[in-house]
Amino acid sequence: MSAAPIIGIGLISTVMTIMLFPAAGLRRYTDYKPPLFMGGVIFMPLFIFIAVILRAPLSLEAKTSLLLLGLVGFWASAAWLGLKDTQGEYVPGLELRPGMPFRPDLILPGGVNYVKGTILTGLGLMLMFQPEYRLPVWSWWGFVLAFWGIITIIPVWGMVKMLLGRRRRFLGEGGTDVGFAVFRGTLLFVGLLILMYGFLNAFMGRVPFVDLLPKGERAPVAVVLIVLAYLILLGRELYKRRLEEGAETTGEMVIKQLWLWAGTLSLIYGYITLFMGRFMVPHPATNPRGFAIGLVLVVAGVALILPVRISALRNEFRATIRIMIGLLADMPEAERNGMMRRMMGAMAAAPERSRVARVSAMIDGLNRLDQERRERMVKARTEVMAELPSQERRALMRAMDEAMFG
Amino acid sequence: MRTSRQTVAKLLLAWIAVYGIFLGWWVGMTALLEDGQLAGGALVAYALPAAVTLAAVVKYRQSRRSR
Repeated sequence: MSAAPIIGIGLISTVMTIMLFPAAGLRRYTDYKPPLFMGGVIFMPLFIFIAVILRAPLSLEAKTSLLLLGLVGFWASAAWLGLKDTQGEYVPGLELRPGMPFRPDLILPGGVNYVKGTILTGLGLMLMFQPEYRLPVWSWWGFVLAFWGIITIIPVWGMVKMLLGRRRRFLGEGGTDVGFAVFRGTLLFVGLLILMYGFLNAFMGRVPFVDLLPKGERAPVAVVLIVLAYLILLGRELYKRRLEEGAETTGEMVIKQLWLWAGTLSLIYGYITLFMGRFMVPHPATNPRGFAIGLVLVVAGVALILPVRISALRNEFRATIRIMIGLLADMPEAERNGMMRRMMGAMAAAPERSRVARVSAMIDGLNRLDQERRERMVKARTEVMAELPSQERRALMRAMDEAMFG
Repeated sequence: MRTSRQTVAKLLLAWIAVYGIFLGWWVGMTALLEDGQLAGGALVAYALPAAVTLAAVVKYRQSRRSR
């Protein structure tokens, strides 16, 4: 027996353990690991079920039914991560460093929506492009490689976004420079290269770097598509610099996700062309079942990347500020006031819509704290506001009025 | 979060337990599906995540009620 499933299941177990470990104890466990988050994490190993189905000696009919059943859970567990109760409350004891808690619920939902949306889109296209109906053949070695793509995109890309982007913007320390945008776009592109090559091997039953190598026939076109994907992802990052996180209109959020989807699609098609050696087109006449199932999977994938991810990102933003307020409340007074000063200064300097969005999330965070912490924070806020220049103070007061009374 | 030796040891133990559960889950599903027991295989596949999620929901409700 191959070692690949043992390794693959070991990797999945590692993620499960880290994500669900009760680092701040069991008493308030569901406050920092809400059921929606837990469910989103624990349904991820349905990968194992899908792998078992695709390798089992079953009829095509039985495999199809079971695969669709497995994919329902696979999709639904990503979709509910877009709901607003996915992110938990502030709970002390999760700090890795002062002011830096281990909160996967603040980065996982958007990442999972994107990764699962990409997998479903890719799988759907594979089914649609076949001249006759057949199902993929699973390779655990492909999954073992794809796992590192998942790690690059969900925790690594998510933490970069959180620590070098969102956190710095909240504190007025930058996070919007071109260099950072290029770095983020490149990191995502590298993660996608690994993820897609891994899953292409996984669903074709091949061993990466051994069985599945680029074919020369259409390589120039494939390379153009892959480079185009990189440029689209970079373009998206540059477009995002113009937006105010948390205060984007729905139209701006949709455009942002469409950039992401277009880049992903270009990369998927470029990869398929590169590794198949021919242009792929759908075959609805000769493969109606594959076309129909593939189309449903593509639509399901797009639903995760577009509406669901938009909702998840908005919730992540509000929850990040909410939890930051709790963290500030537990800091020593001098540090708390210093950080509060930077946060309020950045809020006052932000455009009005963004200011109101941040103030509203801050008020939400304050309301969820226990009385002692809330009093500490209200005192710090009052002291910091008194120190601000009158113009900034007035801007913040207006934003508070707007956030509280609309 | 204290990253002491004790925490690392607990994490390692938790990982061994989780790994064991998932290996058993995989072996169980494989045996059932290879045996042609499709409903049994699917039931086992969904039982683990559904049970964990349900336990989380119960714990969540209890903690809400106790406030």
